[in-house]
Formats: sequence, structure tokens, C-alpha cells
Amino acid sequence: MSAHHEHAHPTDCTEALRELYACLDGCLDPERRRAIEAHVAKCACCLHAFQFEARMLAAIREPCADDAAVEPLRRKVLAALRELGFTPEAHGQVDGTV
Amino acid sequence: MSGLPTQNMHPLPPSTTPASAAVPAASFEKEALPWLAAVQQYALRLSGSAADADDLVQTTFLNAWKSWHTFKPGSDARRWLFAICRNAFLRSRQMEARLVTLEDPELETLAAVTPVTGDAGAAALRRLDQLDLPEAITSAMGTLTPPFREAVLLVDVEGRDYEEAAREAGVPVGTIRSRLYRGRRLLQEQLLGHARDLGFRTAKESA
Repeated sequence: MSAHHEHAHPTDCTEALRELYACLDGCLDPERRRAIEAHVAKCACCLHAFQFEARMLAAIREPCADDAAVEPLRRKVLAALRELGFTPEAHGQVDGTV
Repeated sequence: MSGLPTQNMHPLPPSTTPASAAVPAASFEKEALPWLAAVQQYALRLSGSAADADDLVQTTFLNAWKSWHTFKPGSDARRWLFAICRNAFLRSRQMEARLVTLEDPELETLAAVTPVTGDAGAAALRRLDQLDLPEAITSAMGTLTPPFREAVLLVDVEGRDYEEAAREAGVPVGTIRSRLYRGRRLLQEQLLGHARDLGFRTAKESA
């Protein structure tokens, strides 16, 4: 791991990177957040790190399952539920929209 | 296990009382079933494989149906189902969960400082664009031990804050934070390793 880079503002970078997740998660007070964001905006070193993490966290939130895989699973689940006494009324009306 | 609905207020589960099952069936169909695709996504992130995810979704909805009478109308059915899903997964992986013994929140927070800064960070960003990211994340999640995976799911997928996530997991906030940061860090390493396997140079090599 090469976290220690030669940089004009070593303290600011260390702080910014240390609070990277807290900042992205919205856990910092506004003043602290502004200070970190101001540093990141003018520091390419930290900017890339923040962008990488933000991209990764967004990807974790994104849908990942194949839409085509939903219907077969729904049929399987409904069949299993019926064995437990569940009787759906709106046949075909239950969609998977979130 | 605070998320699992276990307080059975009724002496009999719905399955043994067909006469009264009509009402819960209608509400279950309206409130719970529309979240099937969302639970499938969640289970895929949780289990790391499509086959395991499907089994987990089925278990989730069967458990949800058995406990449907404990669901509070008007509360968040999506998160209720996620909690059942998470608990089913963690129960199936209890042996693995016990393997995680060493946890130092402060140490882990420090360790979470990202290694992809500077030029290496720029290179890492480019590699990220070349990955099938959703797929890469799914397989990377599959390599995390259950406590780390749970923390990432609670905060990053469900969007809970640290306090809520800690309550759901039944651990102190410092612990959930350390697991979350460590989990993300491991995911990051997995993604970079995945990119390297595809023939790209790693941040370490280019640094």
C-alpha cells in the first residue's frame, strides 16, 4: 500500500483521506465537510481517491440482478408460498417495480 | 437479530388457519410481494451468487409469510424483508461469523485510508470504467466475511446511517463503522485485483 505520497499539503491529505468515508456518508458537520471538500477540489491526489470511492459506493447501490431472472424466481416463490397456504388474488398483477 | 420479527402475537401461524388467511394473503400480496425484485438484488449482494441468492429470496418470503401477522401495517415492508433476508443469511453462515475475533475500531478506521491516491488513483479510476462493475461488485461481496458484508449492506445498500446500522446488527457504532470501512476497503482491493486479472496494471505497479 502506498498511502504516503509526496505532497504540498501532507496534513490536509491525511485528514481528508482519513475522513473520506465519513464525508461521503454525510457524517461530518457542515463546516468540517466544507473544509474537506475545499481541499479535495484543489488536490488531484485526494480527488481521485474520493471519485474512486464514490463510484464504488454508487455501484454497490445499483441494481445488479438480471431483470429476466425475476419472473422465474417469482413463480418459484409463489409456488412455495402456496404450499404454506398463501393464495394470491391478483394473478399477474404483482410486479417487481421498486 | 433485532430486525427479525419474532414476537408471535397469535397462537397459530396463518398457514394453519385458512379461514383467517384470506386477509393476510391480500395484504402480503400488496405489501410484501412487490419487493421481490428488490429482495433479489439485496440477496445477490448478500450471498455473492445468483443460485444462493434465489434460495435466500425463497427462504425470506417463506419466513416473511409465516411471520406476516407480526408485520406492523404502515411500516417499511422493504426493510422488514431485508432484515429477514439478512438474518437468514447470517444464520446460514454462523460458523464463518465466529471466525472474526479481532476488531479494533480505531485501527480499522486508520487502515481504511484508501491506497488509490494520486496517479495511482487516476489509473484505478480508469480501470473501474473498464470493469463490468455491478458483476464485479457482486463477486467481490461474496469474498467478504458475513459481518463485513452485513455492514456494507446495511449502510450502502439500505442507506441506513451508522447508528441505525449498529442497532440492526446489534453491535456498537464503532464496530459497525470499523466493519463498514474495512469491508469497503476489501471490496476496493477485490475490484482492483479483478481489473488486474483482466490484464490491466494495478495501482501498486504503476505507483
